[in-house]
Amino acid sequence: MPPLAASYRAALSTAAKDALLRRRRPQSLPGRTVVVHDHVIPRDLVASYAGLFRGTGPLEPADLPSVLVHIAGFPAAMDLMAQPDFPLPLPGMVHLENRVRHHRPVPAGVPLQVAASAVDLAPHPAGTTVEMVVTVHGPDGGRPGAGPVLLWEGTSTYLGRGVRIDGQPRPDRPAREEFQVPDLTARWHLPSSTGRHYATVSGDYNPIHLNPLAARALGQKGMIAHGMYLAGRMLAGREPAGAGHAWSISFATPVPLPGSVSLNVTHPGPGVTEVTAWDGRGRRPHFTGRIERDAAGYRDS
Amino acid sequence: MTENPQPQTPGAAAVAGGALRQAVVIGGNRTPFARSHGAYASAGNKDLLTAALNGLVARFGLQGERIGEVAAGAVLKHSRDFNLTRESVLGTVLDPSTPAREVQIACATGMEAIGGLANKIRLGQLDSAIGGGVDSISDAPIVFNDARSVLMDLNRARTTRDRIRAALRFRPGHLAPEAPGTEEPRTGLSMGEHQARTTHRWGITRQAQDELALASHHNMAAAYERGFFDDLLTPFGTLTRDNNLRADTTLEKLATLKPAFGRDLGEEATMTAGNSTPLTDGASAVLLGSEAWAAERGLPMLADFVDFETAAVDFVDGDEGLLMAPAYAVARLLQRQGLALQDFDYYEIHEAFAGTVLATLKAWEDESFCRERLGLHAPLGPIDRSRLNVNGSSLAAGHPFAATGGRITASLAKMLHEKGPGSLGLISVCAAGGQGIVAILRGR
Repeated sequence: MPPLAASYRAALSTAAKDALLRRRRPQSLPGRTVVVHDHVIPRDLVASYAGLFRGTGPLEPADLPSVLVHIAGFPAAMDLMAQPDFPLPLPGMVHLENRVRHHRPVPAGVPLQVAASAVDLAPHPAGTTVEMVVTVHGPDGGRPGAGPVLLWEGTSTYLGRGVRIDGQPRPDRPAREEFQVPDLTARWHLPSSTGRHYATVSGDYNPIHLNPLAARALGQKGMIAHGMYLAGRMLAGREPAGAGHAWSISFATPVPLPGSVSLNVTHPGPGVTEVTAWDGRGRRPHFTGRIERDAAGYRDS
Repeated sequence: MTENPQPQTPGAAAVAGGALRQAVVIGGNRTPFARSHGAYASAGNKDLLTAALNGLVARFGLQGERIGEVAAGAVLKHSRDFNLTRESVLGTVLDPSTPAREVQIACATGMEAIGGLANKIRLGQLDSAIGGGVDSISDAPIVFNDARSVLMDLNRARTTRDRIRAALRFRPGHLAPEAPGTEEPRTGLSMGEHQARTTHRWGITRQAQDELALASHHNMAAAYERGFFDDLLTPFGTLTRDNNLRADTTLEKLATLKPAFGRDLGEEATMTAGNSTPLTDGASAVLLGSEAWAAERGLPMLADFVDFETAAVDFVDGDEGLLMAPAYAVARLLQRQGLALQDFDYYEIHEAFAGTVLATLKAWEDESFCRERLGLHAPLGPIDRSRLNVNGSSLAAGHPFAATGGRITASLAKMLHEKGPGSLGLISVCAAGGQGIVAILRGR
C-alpha cells in the first residue's frame, strides 16, 4: 500500500511547483486505477481502532467496521489524488460525502485486493467535485475458480474549491433551507485530542485535524474533526454482524475541536437508522447520515 | 409401574418439594439522606452502609445473630470496595458468619437486592435477610484512565529499558480525572437531559412538576412532624432528618428557579433543580424474614413482599424515554398478578424527576401507548393521586441511588401495616440504562 505520508509530500510539492511554474492542472481525470494486491489489514489496527470508540464493545477481527476498511483502503485513493495528473489539488480539498456498500465481512490478517479510481469530475457551485471509488475484494471464499469476491465498495466525494473545468458551466448555489432543529437524542463531547487520536489510528496526519494553528494556516477557523471519525462514531454499535449493509454520510459544516455535537437518531423504518448532527446552539447542521442494515433495498441517493 | 411420590418432610422448603411461603417485611432503617458534598462529605459508602445496618440491628435486637444473607450495593463504588456489603457486615455487631453479597442495577439496586432475597425466603433457602443499598457522591471514585494505562504498562515492564519507555509515555494531560457521572455512556446525555426529552414529549407542564415537588416536600415534612420516620431512621453525623427537605417551600419559590435540564428546548424547558432530585449521600437497609423466623423472635410483620418485575427499554436512539421502563414493568406485573392499576391503596413512584412520575402516569392513561407499547387492549388508566407518595418521595428526601429502594420498601411496608391486612402497595423505581424495577407489597 502506498504510504500516506509520501502522498502528502508529493501533493504538497506538486502544489508548490504548480504555484511556482503557474502550471495549469489537467482538465480531466486520470483513467488509471490504483490496484494494491495482497493488502493485509493488520490485526494491530483493529485494536487501535477499537480504542477510538470505547464502550461499544469489542471488534471481531474477521468482520471489521466499515470505517476501518475505509482507513485501510484510503492510501490507494490518496496515491491517485496526490499525483500531478490529478485535476484537483489535494491541499485544501473538502470532504463532502461518503457512500458505502459493505457487502460481506472484511477480515483482518487476510490478503485483500484494494482498487481505487476517480470518476465523475463535476461542476459544483463552489468549485469542482470528484468521486473516489475504492473497492475491496477478498479471497474466493473457498470456491476455487470463482475469483475474488467484492466485499466492500465506498465512494467518497471531494470538492476542489475554486477549481473550474473548461467548458463546464457553474451551477447555481441552491437556496439554503432554514435548518429545523430535530429532537435531541444524543450528544458527543469531542476533546481537542480527537483529531490526533484518529490520526494515530488512521495514519492520516492532515494538519487541519491536529493543531489549531496549522488548521488556521490552511484556511479553517480552527481544528476540526475528521469526517471519517464522525462516520465511525455514527456507525459504532450500529453495524450488523456479518455485514450486508449500506450507509452514507453527507457533511454540511465542519465540527470544531474541542466541541460537542448534538444528534438526532431515528428509525424511520425497519433496519433503517437516520442521523442528523448539528452544533449545540442549533444554528447549523454538521452532517446527516443513513444506515440500512439490509443493503439489498439500499437507495443510492 | 407407579410413580414414586415425592418424599415430603413436614415444613420442607419449596425448593425441596414443600410449599412456597411468605416473605415478610419486618422493618427498615436508613441514615438521613444528605445533599452531596455537604453533611456526609467525609463519610464513605462503607461508613454509611455500616451505620444503616447497625441501626437496623439495634432496632430489632439482632446483635450476634446470624442473618441468612445480606444483599446490598452501591451504584458508584471504589474498586477497593468489591466486597462492600460483606465488609460492612463485618463492621456491625451481626454474627460474622452472616454472608453478604453485592447487587447492582443502577438506581434500582435496592429493589433488586430486596426482591431477590424475598424470593429466596419464599423458596425456603433463607429464613432471614437484609437488603439495601448505599451511595455517596461525595466519595465517588475518580478515575485517571490515561494515567492508569501508563501505570499498568510500567507495572508490566520487565526490564529497565521497558520501564523507562513506559514512564516516558506519561503526559500531564493524563492526570485529567474522569469523574463518574449520571451520563449515559451510549448517548452522552445526562439522566436529566434524557428526562427533559421525555417530559417534553409527554407534554408535562412546569406547573404540574412544581406541584408534585411541592407535595413531596409538604408530605414528607408532615410525616416527620407526626413521627412517621421515628422507627425508620437513625441519625448519622450531624443529621437527624434529610437535609434536602424544604418544609417551607412554596409554588412561588419553585416557580422562580431557572431550567436546569433541556435548556436547548428554550421556552419549553420545564425541569429545574426544584423539580429534579439532587445528588445525595445515604444508606438504607430492610429486614426480611419468613413468618416463622419473625414470630420466633417476636418481631413485627408489616407486609408481604408479593412480587417484583424488572423491565428495560431501548432508549439509545430515542425510541423510548430513558426512565420509562417501569411503565412496562408495571403492565407485566399487574397482568401476572391479575390486578388492576386502581387496586392499590398506596403508590410509591420514585421521583427521580417530577417529570418521570408524571410522564409515567400519563403513559398509563394513554390509549395508544398502552395498546402499541404495552400490548394491552385498554389503557391502565388513572390512579387516585391522593394515594401517591403520601409521605413524600425522592424530590424531598433526595436520592442516594442504591439506597432509594430500601427507603421506599420500609416506608411503604409501614404504611400498609397501618392501613391494615390485605392493603396493597405498588413501588416503581426507574434506573439508568433504560431499566426499572416495580414491586407489590401487601399489608399485614
